[in-house]
Amino acid sequence: MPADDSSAPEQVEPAGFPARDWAAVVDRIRAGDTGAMEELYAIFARGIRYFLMRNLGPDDLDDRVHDCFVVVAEAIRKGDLRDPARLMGYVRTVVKRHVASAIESAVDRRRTRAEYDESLFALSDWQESPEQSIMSRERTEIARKVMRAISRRDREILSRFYVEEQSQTQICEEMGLSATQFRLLKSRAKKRFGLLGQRVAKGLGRALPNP
Amino acid sequence: MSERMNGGEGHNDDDRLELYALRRLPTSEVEKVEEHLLICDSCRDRLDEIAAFAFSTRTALKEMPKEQSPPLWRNFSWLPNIGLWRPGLTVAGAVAVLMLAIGIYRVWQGGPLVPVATLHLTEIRGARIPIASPARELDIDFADAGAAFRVVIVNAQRTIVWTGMPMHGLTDTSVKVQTALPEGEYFATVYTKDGAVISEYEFRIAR
Repeated sequence: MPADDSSAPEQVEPAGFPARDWAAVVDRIRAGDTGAMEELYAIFARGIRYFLMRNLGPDDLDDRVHDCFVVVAEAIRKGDLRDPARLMGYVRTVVKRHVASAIESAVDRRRTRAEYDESLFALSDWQESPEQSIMSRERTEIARKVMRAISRRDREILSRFYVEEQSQTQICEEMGLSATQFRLLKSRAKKRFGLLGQRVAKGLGRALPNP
Repeated sequence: MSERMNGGEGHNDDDRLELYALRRLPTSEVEKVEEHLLICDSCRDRLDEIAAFAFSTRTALKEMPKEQSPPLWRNFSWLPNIGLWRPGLTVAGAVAVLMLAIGIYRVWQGGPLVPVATLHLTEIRGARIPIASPARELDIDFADAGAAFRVVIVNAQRTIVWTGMPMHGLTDTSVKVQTALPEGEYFATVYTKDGAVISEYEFRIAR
């Protein structure tokens, strides 16, 4: 079947992100510019919060974000950050260390997890709130409806990708699909998932929050 | 001090975010993705949406019965063992083998039909002709018939043997022909709502 570019999935490619001169920010912090500290906090606080929430849950979240930020600020002030251009990498490392340390403390208590992963994006072992559990179940129910509504062949394609963890290349080769068709399938399934989610949320009078 | 600018490398595309969420992104790329996520609200929002779909879909699919047929040998691999180490089951095993043999003989003789046969039609008439076994129901997927409204199946004598509306999947269009088609050549024509022909396919029912 020829690839139909007109029906190609919408691949989100937002415009480029504005570049930041991290060296200038670092220099200003070293010079004691409090405005630069606030700028740094504004840039990173939400991102740090996001990863800490993903890994450790909502407990003590504000304190944890603050702790990470203090470590970064201290390192900058003391000149420990040798290459200011690597500021983002350093912030990531600080967050990873904080997560690892918190998990190690938990492990000491529970002995369930000895190492932390390379990725900061975790399906963590912190307990979901009752509302989050309900949301998760609703999302799974929506996914069930979407999966029931599609053909057996489409289900097999998605199952190969999401359950059996086969690569896109392997699936396309074995199922006789083009890369565009494969993306189109996922894109349409996501769209149905999103639409059904919106309908459910409307019925419940609220938006489905993120996981 | 380095003057290198960071954070100007653009956003992550959906495929990359999905692989990251599924923890299938190469380790060498994880660092770059996470550094960008630290400062980009829109990529974090997209990651959440993508992850919600991916994890829910995975859970839903895991719960569904696996639809691929297991290899044939798996269904019969237990047969030789029964008589060897459980003599008490030898008779039951022999009966099962006998019934199986009778079943095979009856099918060979044109006996009972299998419940469902499937066909995936991607090639237009004139190319390699797909073949399905005679069955009580024939499920046909048409890969290139997105706008299909009606499907008409005729036999080699051009007599209509089945017609109906298709179901639309995500990459294909399918019909369930709940009539046992006898062995022979068939042509399936797919029409739009306006009656225009989208595609015509040829297939064969044969043992």
